[in-house]
Amino acid sequence: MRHYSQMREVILPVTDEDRRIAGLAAIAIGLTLAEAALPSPIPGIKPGLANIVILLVLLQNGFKTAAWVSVIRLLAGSLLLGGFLSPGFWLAASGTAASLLILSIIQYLPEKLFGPVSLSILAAFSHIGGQLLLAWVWLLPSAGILALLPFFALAALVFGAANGFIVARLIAAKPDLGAQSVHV
Amino acid sequence: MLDTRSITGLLKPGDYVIFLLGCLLVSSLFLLKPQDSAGHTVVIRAKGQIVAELPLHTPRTLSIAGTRGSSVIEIVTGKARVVGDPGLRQICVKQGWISRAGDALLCLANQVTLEIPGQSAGIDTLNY
Repeated sequence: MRHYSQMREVILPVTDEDRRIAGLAAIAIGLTLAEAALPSPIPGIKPGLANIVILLVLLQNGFKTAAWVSVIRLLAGSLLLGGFLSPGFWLAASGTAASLLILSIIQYLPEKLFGPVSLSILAAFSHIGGQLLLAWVWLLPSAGILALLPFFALAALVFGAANGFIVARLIAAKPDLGAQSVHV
Repeated sequence: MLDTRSITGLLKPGDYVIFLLGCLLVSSLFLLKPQDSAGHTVVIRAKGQIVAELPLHTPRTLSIAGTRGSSVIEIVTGKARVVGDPGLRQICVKQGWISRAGDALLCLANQVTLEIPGQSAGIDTLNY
């Protein structure tokens, strides 16, 4: 019979990358929570401030880290707000999945021609696209969703452009922001 | 601090293109949006199949054959109702008139339904 002291200690090594992802995800989660307190005219229309962080991470740390931050934000944000596995969670998840899918492709757009504003607008459109597609297929297979589409698209354009602009400003102000700002 | 030159300095040529395409998409979505929230037509189904799609502004009475007999439907200006139905409980008859987009009458026993298509203006439930 083996004694406790003889048991092999299992250490999960925590890399700098893990720490960076955790720190960035914490910022994104913070923005998600702050945003949940804002009133919204139509449920589901939100500025998506956490996407500022995710876009910064994409541009500074690459797609893989951005995807991690995005998924952790989705899971932790819904756990903290109490919506985990609720319909709202699945809508958010489909939006996240759709925008990550698009970002994984459009990150290769020539940097000279397309800045953060482009990425942000396209990701915002695919976010609502993914959300409304799931809502339409699963929750409300009626014309009602179609009538909301223009308003969601307008919100995506406005908030997508605004968030992208904030990202562009942050990068211009501090070119190495994403990689340097988090020391956890 | 945030003058016009510093704004344009942060944008790249493609950004304008994407933004304009976005504006185009949004405005075309607004233009293509179904306008009728008041409800202009009524869709009548029997045994799941659409048997008639009638304008609500033309008064008429018609009889629709269902699984148990015929349901009598009356349309007057802007609204529709079921006048007679072979169903036992007469729920769709007692419901009275429907007029708004999203409204429906279901005569389940006879498998006849009336629906005014379009976005439902009323909200059933809302929670966060």
